[in-house]
Amino acid sequence: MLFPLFSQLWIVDLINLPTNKISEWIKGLLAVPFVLYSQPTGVFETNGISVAQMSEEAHRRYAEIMRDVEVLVDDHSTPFARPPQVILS
Amino acid sequence: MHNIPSKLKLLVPPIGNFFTRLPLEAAFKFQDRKRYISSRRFVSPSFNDVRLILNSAQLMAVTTQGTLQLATFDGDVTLYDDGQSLEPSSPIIPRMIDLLAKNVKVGIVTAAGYTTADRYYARLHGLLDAIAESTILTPQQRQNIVIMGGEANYLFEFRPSSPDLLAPVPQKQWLTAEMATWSDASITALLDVAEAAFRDCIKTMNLPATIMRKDRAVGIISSDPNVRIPRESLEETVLVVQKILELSVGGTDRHNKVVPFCAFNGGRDVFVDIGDKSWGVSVCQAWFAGKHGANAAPIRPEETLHVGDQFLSAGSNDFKARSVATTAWIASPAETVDLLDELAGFMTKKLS
Repeated sequence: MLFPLFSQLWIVDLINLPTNKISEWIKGLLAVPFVLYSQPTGVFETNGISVAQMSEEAHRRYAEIMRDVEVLVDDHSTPFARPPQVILS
Repeated sequence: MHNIPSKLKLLVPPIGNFFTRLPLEAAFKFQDRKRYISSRRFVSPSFNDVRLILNSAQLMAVTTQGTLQLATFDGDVTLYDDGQSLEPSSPIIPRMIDLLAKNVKVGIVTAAGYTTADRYYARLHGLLDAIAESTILTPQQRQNIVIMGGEANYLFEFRPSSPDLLAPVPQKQWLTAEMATWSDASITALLDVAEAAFRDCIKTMNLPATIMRKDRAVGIISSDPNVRIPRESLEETVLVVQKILELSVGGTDRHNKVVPFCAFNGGRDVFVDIGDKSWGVSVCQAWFAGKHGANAAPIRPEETLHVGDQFLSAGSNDFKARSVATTAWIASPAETVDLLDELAGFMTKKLS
């Protein structure tokens, strides 16, 4: 049983490259609006929600998520306030 | 004293630092217009979609927040197909000339470790001839290209009078202070260990490969050019050699007691080079700045863009450049063409 664990450690080593990790993470965030708003039956339907409406709504949601990640990156790059220090007298 | 980690650091622990802001919303809208991501009903936003959005965001940042001073490129898969060369018909060439004409310095930072100019001329002749014959470039702009071979080991500058259009720059003119401390004895000792590890891999996996030893690198290449070593064997070899080296130098590839090295999968071969592309790109940053006086500050990371394809496979040598420059991750020479068009578009937009 040691071997699978060992080989997993190698894999973790590889996929933890930050560039890859943030792309995977953003992809995960974008999957939510995709699941909720994509209209797979739109191929057959003409009434109800149109494909154009779906695409507009998906675009708005995706853009919103990218904007939120942008804010997180800005926050990550901002120098932190020093936390309150515990002073032992 | 440790800082409190940011929310992003808590959510994505391996995240590094960013040299620029990333205008992700604008970049998404830009890519959505090209790729119709939001119009898809069956295929969700993919890893490739996100990779291209991140590239666009990075290009927007280096052109709008600051001025791009230096663009460095990997060779194989970035400028030409793996193992091929940059032919005169390549659509990349006019775009590189355009970049030089906009006063951006260009560095080709490749793992290909040749010691002589003729070998680099053979790989890059399309571009070098075009620079020599260009009517739009000034003599000064022609000098704004260098080739950094073997990751960080051999520097060549443009020389119109040379038959190969390149001239080697003596090491003492470009070695950074840190690199100057790497002794020849340490380099030989490290390469000896690596060579033994490669021999071991050839034996255990019965690889159809032979050892190639150079003065600043060692690796394995296919013994028959028509036979490709399986990707899995190449990856395994990288990881085995890297681990053996790390144990014998008492540290990681970047931080150890002997000399920094870089073990990587070159697609058809595996090599261990001395140093890595972070030093290669740093040398370019210092070299071009040095032309404005010995004390000029090197070109800064946020003014530098490194374009490459190796961000994911074992060793991922282009990813190493991420510590000294902003990066764009492409998957083929055709994507490099698109990226250069995008870059030119953003640069023109800024000027107008």
